[in-house]
Formats: sequence, C-alpha cells, structure tokens
Amino acid sequence: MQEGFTRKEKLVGAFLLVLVIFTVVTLLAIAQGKGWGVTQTTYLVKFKQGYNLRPGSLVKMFNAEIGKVSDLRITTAGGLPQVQVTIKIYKKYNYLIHQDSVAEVVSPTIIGSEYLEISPGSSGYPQIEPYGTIPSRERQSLTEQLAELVNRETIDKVKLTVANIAQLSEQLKNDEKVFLAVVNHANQVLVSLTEAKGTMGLLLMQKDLYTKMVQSLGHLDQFLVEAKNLTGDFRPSAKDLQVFTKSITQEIEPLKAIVANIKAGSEELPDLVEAATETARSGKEVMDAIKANPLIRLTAPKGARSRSIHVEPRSLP
Amino acid sequence: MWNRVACLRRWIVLMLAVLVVGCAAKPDPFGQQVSRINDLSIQGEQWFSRGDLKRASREFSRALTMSRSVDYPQGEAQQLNNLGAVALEDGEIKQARDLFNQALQVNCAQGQWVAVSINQANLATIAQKAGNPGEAARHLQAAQNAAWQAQAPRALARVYLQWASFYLDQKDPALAEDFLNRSQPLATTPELKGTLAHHLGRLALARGDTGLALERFAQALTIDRSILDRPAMAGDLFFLGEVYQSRGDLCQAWDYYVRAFDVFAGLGRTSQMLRCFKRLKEVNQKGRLGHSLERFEKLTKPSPS
Repeated sequence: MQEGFTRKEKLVGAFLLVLVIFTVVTLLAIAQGKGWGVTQTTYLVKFKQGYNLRPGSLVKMFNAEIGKVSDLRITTAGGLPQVQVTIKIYKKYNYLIHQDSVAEVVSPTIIGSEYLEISPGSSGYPQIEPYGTIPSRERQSLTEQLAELVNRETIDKVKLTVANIAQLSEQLKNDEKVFLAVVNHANQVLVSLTEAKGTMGLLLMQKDLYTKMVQSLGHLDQFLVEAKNLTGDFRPSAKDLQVFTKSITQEIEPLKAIVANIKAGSEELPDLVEAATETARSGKEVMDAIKANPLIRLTAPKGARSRSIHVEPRSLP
Repeated sequence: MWNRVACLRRWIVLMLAVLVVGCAAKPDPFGQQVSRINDLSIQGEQWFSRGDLKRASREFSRALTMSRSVDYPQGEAQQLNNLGAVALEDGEIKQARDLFNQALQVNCAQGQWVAVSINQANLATIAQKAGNPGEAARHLQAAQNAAWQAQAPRALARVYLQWASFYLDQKDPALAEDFLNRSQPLATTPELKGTLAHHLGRLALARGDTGLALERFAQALTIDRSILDRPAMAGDLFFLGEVYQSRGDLCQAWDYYVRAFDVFAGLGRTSQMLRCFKRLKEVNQKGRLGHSLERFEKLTKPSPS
C-alpha cells in the first residue's frame, strides 16, 4: 500500500490553497471598499420630494463624505405624503450630528448626481440619537425662486421708481432755462481761461509761467542728479564706517574683558587691603614686642611723645 | 683658656635667654592702645604745624575717640586741647574756648597741672585775641599758678614768655623785660629759646634799638627753622621786614615781607598774608621799587570755591 500524496495531488492541493487565499484577499479588498466592516449609525431625513436621491447617494459635510443614503421610502405624516430618506453616517462623525444640524439636497452644477449635505451642529445642542430625524430644508426650484423675486412688493417698488423717474424728467424740463444759463456761464469761464484772463487763466495759459516751471523742474532734476552723486560718494564712506564700526566692536571685546578683570580684581581689593592692614598690625605688634625687650629698649632711640599744643600768640603788628 | 670659653658661652646663653624672655614678655594691650593714640596725636600735630587744619582735626578726633574708648582721661584732655587749638587757628573762637574749658576740667580732675597750665595759657590767648586783656591776665595768672604747682620749669618759662608777649602788646616794655629775664634761665628747649629770642627782638624794636632787634630776630629765625616751627618762622621774617622798614632799608624789608608772605601762604593763613601784602604795597610804593604785586594779589584773593 502506498503512503502519502502523489505529486499531482500535491499540485492540486497547492493550487486550491492559492485560490482560497486569492478569494479571501479579494473579499477583504471589496469589503474595505464597500465599507462593510465600518460601523455606521442610521438617521432619518424627511423631504417633500426625493430630489433625485437614490440608495448609494453620498452624504457630505464640509464637502467631505461622511456616509451614504441607504433607503428612500414614501410615507404619510399628518395626511400628507413625504419622502423618508434613511442615511447611514460613519460612527466617527456621530459627534457632529446635533439637533441644530440641517440636511439639504444639493444638485450638481453640470455633472455628477445629487447628494445630501448636512451642516454640523453646535455643541450647545444635544446629539441626535440613532434612527432620529435630522431637520431638513427643502430645496427651492427655479419657479419658486422666481416667484419669490417677482412678488407684489417688488412690483410696487418698481412702479414707484418709474414714477420718480417721470417726475425727475418733468423737473428737468422746467429747469431747462436755468440749466442752459449755467452751461453758458461755464462756457464764458472757459473762454476767459483760454484768453489767459484772471489768476487761473494766467496760471493756465501764460507761457512764461510754464517756462519758469520747466526751468524749476530742470533745476530740480539737476539737484536730484547731484544728490544721487552725493549719495554715491557717501556709499564708500558708509562702507568705511561699517568697517570702522566693526573694528571698534572687535576692539571693545578685549576692553570688556579688561573691565571684567578689573571688576573682579576690585572685588578682591577690600580683602587684600584688610589682609595688608592685618599684616601691618601684626608687624607693629611684633615691633612693639621687640621694643619692649630691655636690651633693645636700652639702645633704641627715644620715640617722640605727643603733647598738648600751646597756641603762642606771636601777633603781628 | 677653657674657663674663658665657658664663661663666654654662659654670657651668650644668658643674653639669649634675656632676649627670648623679653620678646616673650606678656603684651600690654592698654599700652599698645596708648601708643596708637600717641601716634595719631603726633600725626595731627604734624598736620597742624603744616597748616592743614582739616587733617589735623581728623587725627585729633580719632585720637579723642580712642582715648575715650579705653578710658584714658589724660589723652582725652590732650586731644580736646589740641582740637581747641585747631578751632582757634580756624577762627572759631567760641568752639575753641569750649574745648579748652573741657580739657581744663578733665586735667584739673586728674591733677595734670602742666596740662592745666597750657589750657589756661591757651584761654589767655583767646582773651588776648578777643581784645580782653583783663581776662587774659586772669588766665595767665592761673596758668602761672598751675606751672608753679607742677614744679615744671618749662611750663613756667612758657607762661613767663606769654606774659612778656602780653605786656609788649600792652606797650609796657619794662614789665615785658622783667618776665623775659625770669624766663631766660628756664628756657632750655629750642622752642622756648626761639620764643625768647623773638620777644627780645620785639622788646628791642619797641625801644628803638633796631640793631639788637635784627640780631634777636635773626637768632629766633635760626632756632625756629631748626625745629621747623613754620608759624614762628613766618613771624620772625615779618618782624625782620618790620625792622628793615623802620631802618629805611626798603629793599631788604621787601625781601623779608615776601618770604614771610610765602610761609604764611604755605600755612594757608589768609589774614597774615593780607598783612604782609599791605606791607609789600607800602614798601613798594615808598621805595619806588617797581616790583609786580600781581602774584601776591592773586594769592590773597579768595578762591571762587
């Protein structure tokens, strides 16, 4: 009897094992892509209509995907039909869904499909429990928006504006003569100016003034050129100054060190003086002791003795 | 031979023993303190003789504090007297009198009659300067009595010489001569000898004997210079100028007045400098000497500070 597997059997076994591993890996990849493993929380949103939403439509917040629409169902509440949208939000975003959050259907501008936008709630409001209803805002259609624009009040305002324009036109007709007089006067003023009459006319039309101005500007140009040259001369000096300043800074460093040394030395000075005084005192004591010796005392010169001063009155005549 | 060596060795050992014992003698702290007070006082006297009254006062004050701190009344009285002398030179008559009186009280209590004599003599000087001859005479009499009591010839000579000066100021040459004669055998120190010669010069000048006066003042100057008693030297020089001026030798008078002026200037004694300057102007004008007085004028002007 033959024991163990044949070579063919081993090959088949290995093939099956590879197949099983491949299948498992593929399944895992799909599950991750589908979000099967991700924990989600279910909420409800109610609209008057479905706005082209369908299961699998995205649920977004700040334009970022936070979940998906899982189901749409037409229900009746208070005798009125409505569309109940069931959404599943990733659990990690639960903390953003509060009582003041608002769900709204957003339509794409050109391409793409509708999605549900939920605004984040503030921390002052309690969180919505799972399977709770998130408040919603209906999307306005174009006709509704137009109807909002063209209402009675707006029409009244337009009527009033037209009436005002008509009234203004009438007033302009009445003030035509005054207006013409003003225009004539302005014309006269302009003529005077062109004829170099008056201060303004002189200023505007006299060529001398213009020439003088041109000359002044020329002088100014010259001055600016000279100033520029002068600034150019300053540059090397400024560079020298920089070098000078740098060298001073370098010189200051050893000076600082010297001052620091002097300071350190001066701190030791009182001790030194004290030590010197002490030494002098002890020296004097030694000398006193030597002087006290009878043999020394006999030979030593007699020290001076202090006396009371007698102020002799040698008065001058 | 052996005996001599042994004897020498014994002597050397004995001397060394004396030296060692002497050096190892028990120190005398009070004596050392008194010695320090003495040193300070001597230093003060030196500043005083140089005319540096500020420093002299500082040294005497320190000596006074030390004397009081070790209960040394003799030193205390001495420093009080010396501080009085500083105050007197500084023109503080009232303060000087107070200090001399304090010193006098301490000295009387201690029976220090020589010191009492000096205190009384100084009080007499104050009275003389204040123009009170009666009080000056009373103090001089008290000084004389104290000197008698102390049996101190020098103290007595000092008082006699001050009596002579007093009577010369009072224009009484006879009494002045009497006291000068009394002091002559007692004046044994250079200081007293210098003073005696000076007053003898003044006596001669008062009697119109300018020759003798010159001789005496020159003698006084020599003695005073030997002990560097600068105020006394300046006085001698001034009187030499005075004698020459009275003899009509104005060039010599100018020279001596200039020398006196310079010594007084070194001592910072403005009032005496002004007196010299006055004499210099007189002599320069009378003798038409044509000397410049600018230097003297500058020095006599009070400094802005």
